[in-house]
Amino acid sequence: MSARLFPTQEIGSLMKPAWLVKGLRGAELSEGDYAELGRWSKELRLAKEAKRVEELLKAHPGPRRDLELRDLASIHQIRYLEAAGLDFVFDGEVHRAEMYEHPVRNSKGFTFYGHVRSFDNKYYLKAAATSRVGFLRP
Amino acid sequence: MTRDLQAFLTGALPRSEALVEATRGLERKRVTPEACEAQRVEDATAAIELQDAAGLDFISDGQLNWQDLFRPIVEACKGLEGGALTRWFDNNTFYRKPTAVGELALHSGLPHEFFRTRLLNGHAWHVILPGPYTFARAAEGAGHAAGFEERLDATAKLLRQAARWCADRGARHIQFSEPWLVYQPPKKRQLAAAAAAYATVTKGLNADTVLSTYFGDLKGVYPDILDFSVDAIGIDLTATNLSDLKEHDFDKGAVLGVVDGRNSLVETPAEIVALAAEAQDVLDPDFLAIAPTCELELCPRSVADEKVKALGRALELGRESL
Repeated sequence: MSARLFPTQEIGSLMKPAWLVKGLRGAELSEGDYAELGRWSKELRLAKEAKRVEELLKAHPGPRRDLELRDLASIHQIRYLEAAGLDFVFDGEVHRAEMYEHPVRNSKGFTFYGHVRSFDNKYYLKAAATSRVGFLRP
Repeated sequence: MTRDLQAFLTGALPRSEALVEATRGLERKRVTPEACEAQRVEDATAAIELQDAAGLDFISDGQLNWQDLFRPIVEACKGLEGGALTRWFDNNTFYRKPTAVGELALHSGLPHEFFRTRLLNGHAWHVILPGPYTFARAAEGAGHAAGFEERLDATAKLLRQAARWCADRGARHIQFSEPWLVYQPPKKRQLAAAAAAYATVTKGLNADTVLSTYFGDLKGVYPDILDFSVDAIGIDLTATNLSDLKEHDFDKGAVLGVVDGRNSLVETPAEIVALAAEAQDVLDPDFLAIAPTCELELCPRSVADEKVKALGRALELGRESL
């Protein structure tokens, strides 16, 4: 535990970088997206990781490739928060589709009923507890 | 005493899974605006048919393209902008904070795409608008209408224009949604300002009016709210105990929020009618209506459909037994 008087931390998910969002979707990155990847990899000293991201973006989407992309995004987000000087860091939830869906999917006793709008054209899957709720996996 | 019982919705319906996919696709440029609009029309048609089949008295178009309760007004008013994403009370849903940047007025009416009057042709049209108090609380002013009471007054005049625009196009029943009034009840002075705002909004309005409260206990503004210039008051019965309201003469219609818009469990018609019977005994209102507590949009569409059907069956049962 930090002995600092005012330890700092981020309290919610971080916006996923465009190269991750588009990469997972199999969409083409714009020049601006590549420029952003280059700028941040320089800023965060992640040149080797950025090179690997570019290799993966050229590969066909698939579970192993997508997992590696997300892992690289985790490194990116952790380094981002470390560079800001925060005392406690995390990966910005890049492995999650949505904050609640992840733990619910990995628990038992819930039934997903469908999407509910979060804002604008963004949605989350809403589940209800329909039997005894319990831990399944982390 | 037997009275006719009414039923109608309290807010937007959820989008179907097909519309969810279409709007996501639109953002990702995989779906054309025309294809998305076709899906919206299909959803709105289904929403109207659902309410019609359930026997609801006043029918809305489902508000399936309203990004939040304020957005059509914000888009129609040059003096407003959609600002920061802000949590919609204690829900996992957000709205864009209306931000005053100029005069609050409608110069060209409301955008037609938010009011599907052609699809509603032949039905008693139920319009749901934000209430002035909630609008003023949810908004902020940066230099323009910066003080709350000034903003409330300006908002009331703006909503008066909006309500008249709807009434002029055939709206029979206009609801003003006022969750803020009960979520965090105002002090006496602000409550008096809210009452004045309603006098402004409804003056000369040629439609039945409902002030719908939800996400909070009506007791916090009771009995003062009975003096507001509307025909009926909506009460969230998941948050309000009817016995707390029995000391005063409820000389308006009572719209009972009896179908929980935030819970996936579907109420039985018998449960709904039992609450309506209790309300009739305790309040003895001018007339009684049953409705969802809030926008059913907070539930998935499959759940909302079942809730509307339950409301319809309760309406039938209530008309026989009350």
